[in-house]
Amino acid sequence: MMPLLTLMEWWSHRTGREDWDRLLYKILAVAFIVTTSLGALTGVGIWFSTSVVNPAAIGSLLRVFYWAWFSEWIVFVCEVVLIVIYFLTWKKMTGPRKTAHIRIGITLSVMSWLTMAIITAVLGFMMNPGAWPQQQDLLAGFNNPAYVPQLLFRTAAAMAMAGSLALALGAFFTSPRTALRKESVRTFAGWTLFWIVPMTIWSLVYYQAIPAEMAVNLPVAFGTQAWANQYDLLIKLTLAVGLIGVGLNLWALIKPARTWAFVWIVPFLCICLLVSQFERTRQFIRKPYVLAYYMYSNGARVQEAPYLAKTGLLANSAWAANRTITADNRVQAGRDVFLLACSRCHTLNGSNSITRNLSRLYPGQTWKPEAIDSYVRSIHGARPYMPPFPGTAAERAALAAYLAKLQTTSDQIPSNASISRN
Amino acid sequence: MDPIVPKDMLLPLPAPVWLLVALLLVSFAVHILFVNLMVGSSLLVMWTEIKGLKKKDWDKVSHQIAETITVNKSLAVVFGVAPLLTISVLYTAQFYSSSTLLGHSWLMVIPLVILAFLFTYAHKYSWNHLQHSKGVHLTLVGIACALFLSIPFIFLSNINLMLYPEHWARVHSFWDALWLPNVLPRYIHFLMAALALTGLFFVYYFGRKPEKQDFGSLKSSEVVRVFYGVALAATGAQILFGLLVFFTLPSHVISLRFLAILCLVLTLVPFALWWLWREVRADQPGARFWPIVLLLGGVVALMIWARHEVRENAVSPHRALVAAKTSEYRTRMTETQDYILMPGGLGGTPASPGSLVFTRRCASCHSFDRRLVGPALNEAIASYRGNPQGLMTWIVKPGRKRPDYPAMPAQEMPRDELQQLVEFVLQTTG
Repeated sequence: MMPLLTLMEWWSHRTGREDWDRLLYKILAVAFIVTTSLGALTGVGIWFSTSVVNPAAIGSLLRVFYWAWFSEWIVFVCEVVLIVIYFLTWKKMTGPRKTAHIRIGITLSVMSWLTMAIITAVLGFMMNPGAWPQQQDLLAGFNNPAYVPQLLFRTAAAMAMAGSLALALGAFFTSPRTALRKESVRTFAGWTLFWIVPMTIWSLVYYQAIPAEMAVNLPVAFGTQAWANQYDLLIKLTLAVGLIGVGLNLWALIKPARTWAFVWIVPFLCICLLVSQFERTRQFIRKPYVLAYYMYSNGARVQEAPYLAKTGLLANSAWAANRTITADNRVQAGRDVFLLACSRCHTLNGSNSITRNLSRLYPGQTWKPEAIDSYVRSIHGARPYMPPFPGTAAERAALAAYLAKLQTTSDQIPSNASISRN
Repeated sequence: MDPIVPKDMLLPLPAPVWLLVALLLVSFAVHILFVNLMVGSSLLVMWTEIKGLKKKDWDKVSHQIAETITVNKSLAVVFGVAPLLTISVLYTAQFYSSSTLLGHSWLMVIPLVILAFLFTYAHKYSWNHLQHSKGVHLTLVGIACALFLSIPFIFLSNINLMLYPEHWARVHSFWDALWLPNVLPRYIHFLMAALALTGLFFVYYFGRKPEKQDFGSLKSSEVVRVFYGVALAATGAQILFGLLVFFTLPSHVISLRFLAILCLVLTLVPFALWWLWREVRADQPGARFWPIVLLLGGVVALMIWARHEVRENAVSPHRALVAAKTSEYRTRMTETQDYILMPGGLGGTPASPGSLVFTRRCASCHSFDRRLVGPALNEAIASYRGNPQGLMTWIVKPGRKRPDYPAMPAQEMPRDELQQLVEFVLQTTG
């Protein structure tokens, strides 16, 4: 957003267009309030949610990337300070001081991009750590194979998204059939189209950088289990959404005045849809890992799996209520195993519900503990996105007993279930 | 009660401990400075706006305070990230345990802060529009204040709970954590600090260029004196509430060094109070501003150090337990690396390659003699005898024959694995 606004500010200053300057200020005001409340807080919110949802994963990542995040934080502080100054001085720094104001905008743009450049390294690392497992240092983690394509893709996507948002806001803040409306629609659509080209190219390069064993996950990653078999259809739908966005932008170039203002919000919705679909796929595709090749999505490290399979999850957990399994506590111990091994991803009845999955596996039948047990035993073979069961055979049987019981009884998982992991 | 001892991360710390501690203390000091200003100004903006209902000129003062809050709150958030990261790294086992024990309540911080910010923006930007509906306008800031007053409870419960692993076993929610001794006294201690600091901040803010301030009949020196009064009252009350915090601390966290720091603080504070009192009584207040700031700044630095002392005293025995447990776990884990994750473990007769593929890819859903997820193979594959090619085609791209079974997902595998698998399956059922 900031590069686009600064560029247009420079242009309107050079051509003396004060109506443009006022329009840009209104767009910036929206961006300012959204980024400093929702934006800043959801960014910080990640630290809260990850620490509750998967402390083992975020704790490990933090040990590797502490300095990356620390420098990102310094850039982030500069960014927030600069956006506050940029916005609050827009109307004060006029005339000869306008050039200085534009410079603030340029610095702010560079800072925003730097934040993304650092954070993308961490995201790339989670999917493919490159040489990190051998070298275990920050630089090896930073320089992962997916980094450059993802960064270039994200840069272009952010620019295109900013253009689409500016298109919608610009239409909202101008009166129909004015020259300003026409110009703003045309300019922002042109900007978006310009960036869609590199965005498409780099998304294809990025696609090539996905490790082959994770590409197997694509159908489920893209459309959830329910839609996995309609992968082709979903791809077509996604392409259609993209084409609607591009088509509307082209139309904006040719006939900028011939429509109602709210039509111009559609390209923004299209690109939001595409980007959130991309993020969903990126999050899912690295399964069965949460940190590729180092930690499974259930929080068990790859290197500790053999030890856990031998000695058990319960015996090694500081928090489990039942440390050993007896005939009396089987179901209760199975519940503890569920909390330890499954609850990072599965709920009982909510999202990714384990009971719904079981009903899908055994339609119209009684859930038999033995059948569930043998399913879980080689679950990682049948479903490549599932990690191997991280415990002993007795724990697996207890889990199966607990799960089978869920067909007839209901249970609830506490919101602090992740505690038990370490 | 014995403390719960979790394991630490199995990766080394990213920096020497002294460096992390220094970063934590410095970044926390900056963060809490802006948090204090954010919370304190929200309370003072409401107070001055209510004053303005009777005496119009205070409304102008209030409006100026409102202008500062949104800047301070943005800084409070961004400066919070570094201490949050650093405490997560330095006290991983304790901080993640207490955060997860609070569960959803800890996550509630985010939506509550977003709400508080949006109400603060609404209050600031509607000042002129709602000039004649003060009731509505005061409600906006009232809600923001209520939110700003409740959020610290969550922070304090967490930061207090992490210090006392011996309580973890019986804490099941935010409320349990809130009622541990020391949380409520610390809360009042925090609020008073916020008011004292904000009072001083506005002494500076409204005292900068007295000739440029225009509050009608209200002289800027009078405004400055009022904020000196706020700082004086809050700082004085701190002696009382500070002692309350001290007496609710468990005895094992009190060390000689901690007592020494507190004594130093208690000798400095009376000087600050005396100077503040002189400023409140002065005709032209402002002469002692920087000495007061310097002195109270020193007090704040000492208090942050004292706070760190308490944390270290509380956590170090537990940290030693965690370290011992982690290192033992690491040793035993490495010893087991050669254990093979396979049904039955090591030993027995070597299995055929086809049966290994079967175990890995098919056994979850198929058995030979009974229904699991999919049908029993003895019966289902009967039609493929002598037709390995047909079975291969089915496995790679299965159709759906039985409406009362879930559809089989397509299996992707290398050609040679597929051949070994089909050979094994047909042999076994044959």
